[in-house]
Amino acid sequence: MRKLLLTFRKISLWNRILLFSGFGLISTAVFAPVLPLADPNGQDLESSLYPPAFLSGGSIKHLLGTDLLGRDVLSRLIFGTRLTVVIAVSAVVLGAVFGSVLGVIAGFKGGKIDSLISRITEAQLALPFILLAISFIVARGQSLGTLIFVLALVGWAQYVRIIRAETLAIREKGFVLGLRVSGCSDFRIIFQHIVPNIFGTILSLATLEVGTMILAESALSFLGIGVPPPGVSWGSDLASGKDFITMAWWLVTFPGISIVLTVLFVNTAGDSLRSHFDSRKRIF
Amino acid sequence: MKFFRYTLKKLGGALITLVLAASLAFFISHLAGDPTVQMLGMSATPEQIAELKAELGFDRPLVVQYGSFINELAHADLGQSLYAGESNFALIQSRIWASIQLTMVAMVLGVVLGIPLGVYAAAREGRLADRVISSLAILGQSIPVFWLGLMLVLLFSITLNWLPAGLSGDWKNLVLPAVTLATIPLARVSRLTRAAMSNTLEDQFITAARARGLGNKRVLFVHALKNASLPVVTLIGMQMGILLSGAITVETVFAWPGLGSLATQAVRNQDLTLVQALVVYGAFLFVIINLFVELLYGVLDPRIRDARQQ
Amino acid sequence: MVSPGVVGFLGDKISMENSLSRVLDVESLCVTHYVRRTSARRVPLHAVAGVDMHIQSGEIVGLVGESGSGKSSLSLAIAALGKVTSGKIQVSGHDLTRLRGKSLRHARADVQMVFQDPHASLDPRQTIGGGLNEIRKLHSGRVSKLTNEELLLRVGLSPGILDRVPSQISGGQAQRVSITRAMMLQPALLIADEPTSGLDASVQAQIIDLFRTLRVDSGLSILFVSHNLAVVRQLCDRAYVMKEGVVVESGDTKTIFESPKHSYTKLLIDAVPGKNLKLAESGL
Repeated sequence: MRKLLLTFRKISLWNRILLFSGFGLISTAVFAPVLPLADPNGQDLESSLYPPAFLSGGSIKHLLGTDLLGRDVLSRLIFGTRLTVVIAVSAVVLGAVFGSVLGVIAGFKGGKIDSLISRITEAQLALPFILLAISFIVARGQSLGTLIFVLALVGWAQYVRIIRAETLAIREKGFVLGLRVSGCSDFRIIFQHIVPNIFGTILSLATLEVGTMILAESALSFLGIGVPPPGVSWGSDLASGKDFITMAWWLVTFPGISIVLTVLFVNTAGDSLRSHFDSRKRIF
Repeated sequence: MKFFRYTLKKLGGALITLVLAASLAFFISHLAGDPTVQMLGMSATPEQIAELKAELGFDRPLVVQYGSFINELAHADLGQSLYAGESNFALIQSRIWASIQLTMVAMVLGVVLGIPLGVYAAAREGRLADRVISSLAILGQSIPVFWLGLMLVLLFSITLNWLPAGLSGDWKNLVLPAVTLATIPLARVSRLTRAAMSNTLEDQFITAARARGLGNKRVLFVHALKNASLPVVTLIGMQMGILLSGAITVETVFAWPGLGSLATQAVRNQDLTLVQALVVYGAFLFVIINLFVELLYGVLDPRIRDARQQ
Repeated sequence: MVSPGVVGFLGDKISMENSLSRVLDVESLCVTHYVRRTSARRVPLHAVAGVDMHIQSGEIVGLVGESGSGKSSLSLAIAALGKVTSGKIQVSGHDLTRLRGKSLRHARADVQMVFQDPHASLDPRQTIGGGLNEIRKLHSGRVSKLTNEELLLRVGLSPGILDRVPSQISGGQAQRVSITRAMMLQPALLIADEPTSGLDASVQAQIIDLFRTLRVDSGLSILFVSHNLAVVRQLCDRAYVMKEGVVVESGDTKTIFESPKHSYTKLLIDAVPGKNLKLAESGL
């Protein structure tokens, strides 16, 4: 605990802001159900298509307006954070683990195994992401698990290349030979020695990917194959709002802004995290 | 002779990648079992399911299905649309031109605007112009492209009424979707150009300072540009894949009659074979473009050809 | 300074039975690597082309040659870390090249190795103590009974470094750590591959001294691989001279240096800066 506080002192003002915002974001997402918000799925057909409160025709009860079914926009925005974060993080973790393991094995073993893994990765990268996601979801049916799996499927290939290069670099360094002569098995070398040394890189990559995942999820939800109802997703809100763009601009504007802000935040936080790791790379 | 060998190697590699990619596509879409239950809905009887399965060939063992898939592929047959019953290939062909138009224009726009912006930002490194351009580029990569499209429609079609949102048949239709889609390559290309230029300029200035021979700023610039162009060319090749993905949502927003909306239709209709055909076709396009870029590389930079030989 | 252990480095009595036996027996060893010169052909590179070598218990034997002579491939092969194409290698009577998996890992304790770059041979993220404990875990039956602190003291290191990571200790210290890691397994043979090339002159002298002490205290045999003739002359009883994969001369160090038979050996000796070898003899 003391170590944490000491580390906190070292963080710059900018990073502290980021940290707090992140905390705020996550708390909002976590505590959304107990906040004084309208039910995001609560339909009230009499309050259909209300504009935001600051325009004429709006009401205080619905600060950012309502959609066709009378659901409160603000509430949907906030609840949308929950699934977005959960999906993006899960997909990143899944993809990162899978991709990194393959990357390490490819870099460590070399030879035929390396060629095989590299070929498959290249092939995977050749498939346009959305089409791949579409084909899987259409075949399997729409569900949260499928969505996360598909996103992970799309993301894992990125890790393989970079982790493989890192592993090769580590192999060159020579301590692998030292470990081997001391009697370490390959398994031990990979998991106890190589992985801890590339963990920083994996983390950096992963933080970059979270933003991409959020954008990907919103695209899939927009196409109607992402988050299944009654889950709240900004992407699907955009899809339903699109039909009313002429009369209810707020339905299309606000969810989009949420996406942009979240992605920006994640990317910026990721950047900070990355530079933090880079400067300590030697010791880490 | 060396170039011929290089080409052959690249061709072979591309073919392998294509087959692997198509196989991946096959296995991924068949991983979940067959779609007959999905197609017929919840109320289907087991007999109906069995009948449809047999009719579509989903009752055969997976290996056999894979075999016929590859066989058909070799004959450029991408199967039949489950929904429309037509040849998938024909369906795709009817829409591809519209998509190519859109993607090409978007790519050209992105590159033509992106490179000068990147160069300018590198030249004014650290100053306001650089910061603005870099921030915009980062912003561009954080925005869902389809939302941007919607916002542009809101602004230019509905509010300002300058451009049509629906299809009116002339070039004006192309503007909004193309500009929207163009932001993807624009952001990437400008960032990359800026980074590449900035690096090379640094080197150049240091060398020039050492030699104390002032080089005209212009000369330095041109040199830097030449050096920076190589990674940008690579990026352009890679971008095509991402553009294809982005085009799907953009086409949906603007109801553009290309592959993207075909894909959306296929999704709505649960048309598994059409989706699979689109994936394979997409992979094919990507591989072809990549191959082209790699060959272009070989032409532009002989060192790469020879280096690869080792 | 090194503390002279009366009962031997590892706290065990020196076994007199093995004093006259062969610790290393190499017969007709060949190591062939396949290298891609052009994309079409793989050319065989005969790194080691038929080498015979033997080392008696308690000897320090030098292996001399320029880069490319094959000495690295040879030493890696003997340590069962590198490829063996044909020939026989026996360490204390067992042939390590025939072993696999667990039995190989256990048998590694017989022949240990320290490498040229002391920092590169250690896992940058692992503490010194952690590394020693890991070796203990892997070889619980065979490892020295001394504690980590006692082991470090034997090589002249302060136990305080147990909690440090490699980047926090000097090159000389890191090399001693590597030697500790090797010696705690009580090997019959220690291969030292250019162990002093990356170190300052004063530190070099200390490490050389340490090797001498190890031989005296523990009955250890050492294969000392180096291109530094002055050091080899100082330290080794016998030496082998290698060129392009074969041994061109071997024998008593004194004899080799005073009356070299092969032209290549003469070349090497002549190339030593300061033909006046008296300096080398007195100083180091």
